Formats: sequence, C-alpha cells, structure tokens
Amino acid sequence: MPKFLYPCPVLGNEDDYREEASFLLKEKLILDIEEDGVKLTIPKPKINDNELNKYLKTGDLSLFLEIDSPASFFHKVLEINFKNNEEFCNIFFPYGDLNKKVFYTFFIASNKGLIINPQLISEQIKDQFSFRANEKDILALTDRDSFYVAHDFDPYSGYESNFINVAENDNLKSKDTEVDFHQNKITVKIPKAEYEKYQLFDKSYDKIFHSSIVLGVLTQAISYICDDDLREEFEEYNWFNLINLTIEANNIEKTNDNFSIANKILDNPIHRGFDFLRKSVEEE
Amino acid sequence: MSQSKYDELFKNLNYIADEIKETNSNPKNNYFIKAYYKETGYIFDDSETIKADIDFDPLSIVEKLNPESDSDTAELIHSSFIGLDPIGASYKFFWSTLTHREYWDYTQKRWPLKDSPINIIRARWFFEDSDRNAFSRNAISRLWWSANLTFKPWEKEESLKIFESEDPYKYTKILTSSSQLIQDILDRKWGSNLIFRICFLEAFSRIMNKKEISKTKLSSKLSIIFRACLIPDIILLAEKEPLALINYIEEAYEGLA
Repeated sequence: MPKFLYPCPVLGNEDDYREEASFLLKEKLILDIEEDGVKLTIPKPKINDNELNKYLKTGDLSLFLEIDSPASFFHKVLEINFKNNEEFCNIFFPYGDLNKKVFYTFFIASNKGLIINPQLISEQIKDQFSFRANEKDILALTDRDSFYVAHDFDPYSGYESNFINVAENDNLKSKDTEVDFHQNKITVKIPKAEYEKYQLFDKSYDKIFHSSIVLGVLTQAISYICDDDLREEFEEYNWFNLINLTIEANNIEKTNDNFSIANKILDNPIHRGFDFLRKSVEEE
Repeated sequence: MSQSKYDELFKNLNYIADEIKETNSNPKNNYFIKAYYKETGYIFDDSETIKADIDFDPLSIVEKLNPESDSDTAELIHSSFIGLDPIGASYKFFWSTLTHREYWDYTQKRWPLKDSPINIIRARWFFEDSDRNAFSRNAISRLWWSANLTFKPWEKEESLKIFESEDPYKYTKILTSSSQLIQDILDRKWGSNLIFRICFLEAFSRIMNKKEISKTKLSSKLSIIFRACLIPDIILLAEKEPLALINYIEEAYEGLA
C-alpha cells in the first residue's frame, strides 16, 4: 500500500485515484481588468467522484482557491462560495494585488471529521479505504494553472503603445516602411523623409494611426500568434504575450480570421478613423 | 532607462558572460564589466529613457542612502517614493535606471563587485531569475519591496491589528536586519502571503528574544518549518488566527530544535 506524506489520498495527486477521476474547471476563468483592480469570474469546478461530490453539495467539504502573483508578492488562500447554486462566482482583487503572470490552484478540503469512501479511489488502495478526513484536510486539487494580468496594455492609449514603436528606419537606403517583429515591441520603421512628416502629428491623430498603422501591424502579429509553426519564433517577445493575453482577456475566439481579431481588439478603428475625418471636415 | 535600453544592456552582459566563460578570460579586463568599477554611473541620452510618472527626485536622498544599514535605506526609499505602487514597482527598467545612474555609488558600496562581478551585476544592478527572486535581489527594488510588504500590515489585514505598533516600519526593521531573512521570505511563495509573512517575522523576533541563535540559522530553520507545514496543511494554516499560527510555528521550532 502506498504511503502518504499527506493526511488523506488526494484526487489530483498521481496514483491516489483512478485515471478517470477528475477535478477541473470545465470553462476558463474570466478576467476583467479594471482601473481599480481585477475582477475574476470563476466557473464552478466539476468533480466526478460521487462521494466527494455528495459531500461538496452538503457543505461538508469546501472549495478553496490558492492564488499566487509573484510580480506583486501577493498570495492568498480563499474559500469560494457559489451562492444559490450559481455556476459562476466573482472575486475582486484591488489594484496592485495581481500583476503579470498569476498562478492558481483549486482545493477541496473537509469542514469536519468525515468518513469517506471514494468511488474512484485507486485500484491499488481501494481495499484499504474508506478513510477518515479531519477538519481542513485536503481531498482534491486541480493542476496549477496561470493567467496573465497586463495592467499596462491599453491598445487605445495611442498609436505608440506598449507593444508597438514607430521609429526612423536606420537603413537609409530603404524607401519602404518595414516592420520588425523580432524585438520586445514591434517596431514600425519609417524612411527618414516620411518619419519627419510623421513627427508633425500629435496624439489627437491617434484614430487615424490606429486604422493606418496599428491595424495592419496587429493583424500581422496575430497571424504569428495563431500559427503553431510560427509562434515559437516570436513567443519570447513581450508584444506576443501582451497581444495573446488581450485576446484571451477579451474572450475573442482565435478561430476568427486575423483581421477580425485585430479589429475587435482595436474596436473598429476604421470607423473611428472616419468619425475623426468627418469631424475634421466639419470643423474646417 | 527605456525597456529597449534595459534589454540591450542586459543582452550585452549575458553575451559577455558567455564569452568570458568560453575564453576563460578575466572579467575585469572586459570593457563592459570595467565600467561597473568606475566611480561614475551611466549617462543615458533622451532616446534611451522614458519619463517615470513619479513626483520625486531620486537624487534628493542620494546622500542619505546607507550601505551599512538595509533597514535605514529601506525606510528612506519607501517613504520617499510616495505614489509608487506595486504595478509601477514591477518595472525592472525603473529600478535598473536607479542602480545605473542615481544610486550607482550606493549600489557599488552595498554590493562590492570583488572578483565575481558578473553574477553581482546581473542580480544587483539588473534582474535575474523569476520575478519574485529577482525583485528581492536588485540592490534598490529589494529595499522598496521589503518595506512595502511589511509597512503597517495591521492596516491591510484586520486580524493583524493585534500587532499594531507606533513604528510603521516595525516589521521592515526585522525583515531587513538580515539579507538571508529577506531572501528566505521574499523568495518563497508563502512569503507573498501577508499573514504568513508577518507571523513568520513575529515568530522570528520572539524566538530571537528568547534563544541564542544566529539570525541566518533561525531564518533557515523557520523556512524549513513553513515549507514542511504548508504542503499538507495550507488550508489549515490559512484559516488559523495569527497568534495561533505563531504558537504553531514556535512549537514546531521547539520540536525541530
């Protein structure tokens, strides 16, 4: 019989339960990054062991979330309650608690001493069990997973944002605009003469730049993100992570075509460009 | 400095480190490494910098930075950089600008390069390793984070009110009393948990007052206890009242001792 370094067999630890036993989230966590913090919408995890599920429903077991954000030195263990048997539960983390890559694990732990006879306990140990769980003993855990909180990613903040740079092309012979994806920020390199013209425009022209520069570059970047063969070449760069996570945070399906994804992220920049031009004409 | 300047310098350092390793040459002879022994820091031109949104001149406290006392310097930096929040403090290029320019002299004195400059430059001037470890090693960020994570914890967590003190930096002083303690706490996942962190420091302080033991040794022993207890009992520990948790740690320490 296997020896445990922990008090009870745990669904989620190798060999404690049968292979078909599972405790997992059927849907993804939903992130809303707001000015004052991050709202996390958690779908109810599913557990397929009838015995554990029964105790979870009667409230003899509770669900806990361990959340760990290394970049902000934030770690907490929270009890999660799904009110009125709802399928989702919201938790709000004030600004600063979560930042960059955030790891999480769900646990199920007992609220009192219980005799448990799990339906899907491993064949190797089933003859030895039922077992007694004491208060706060962990009985199931999910794999450690992560999401990304990019507080500083705001594609609407300007044509030059934290994922794109506009610079003068250092190759003086080049007469065309070139885009370099092999840096932490995508760099749009404009020939010297054009760059001088470009510098005459201030932030009030963002909407035009969104439709003329950013949309095209973002569409190309998304094609790299969605291409399994190409992503390896670019995934080390910051822009890759930021755009990828923005797609996830906005719940945009990656099965959409690249233009549609970019268009959704930038909120119809062509339409906004037309609005800007119309207003300019009216003002004249 | 800008993110791209930071990336450029850090890439250079890693390239040179590989070269030195391959050729087995003396790092002190390399032009890039030599610069870190000089008295004056980097001068960045406008294209290499970005404006930080902080209403404070870092040079105004430069004379007061004390390489002999992490506690004094941590308090000074934390109380001076008013308005810097944990998101702003997660920009590595922000801290590296300070180590390379305004606080060059302090960084050199606090972390002498001696004969193994590359590792020290990488960890103390820049950031190496994962976020948590990196921020607890950079010469300046480690002090701000140490203070920020221990400043008036009773105002952030109701259950810690029992530890309220007139000194808002009470736990900063304990944490920064030993470099080992900073590393043992800030490097670890549980060290990011406010209650675990403060209880660790409180238990550390109580045991230090009762026993004759070096800070390094005690810190290391308490780290082992935390790690050992948290694996099976994370829910149990998370739900304990702080005083009960401190008793639990002290009892576990007695058992280990």
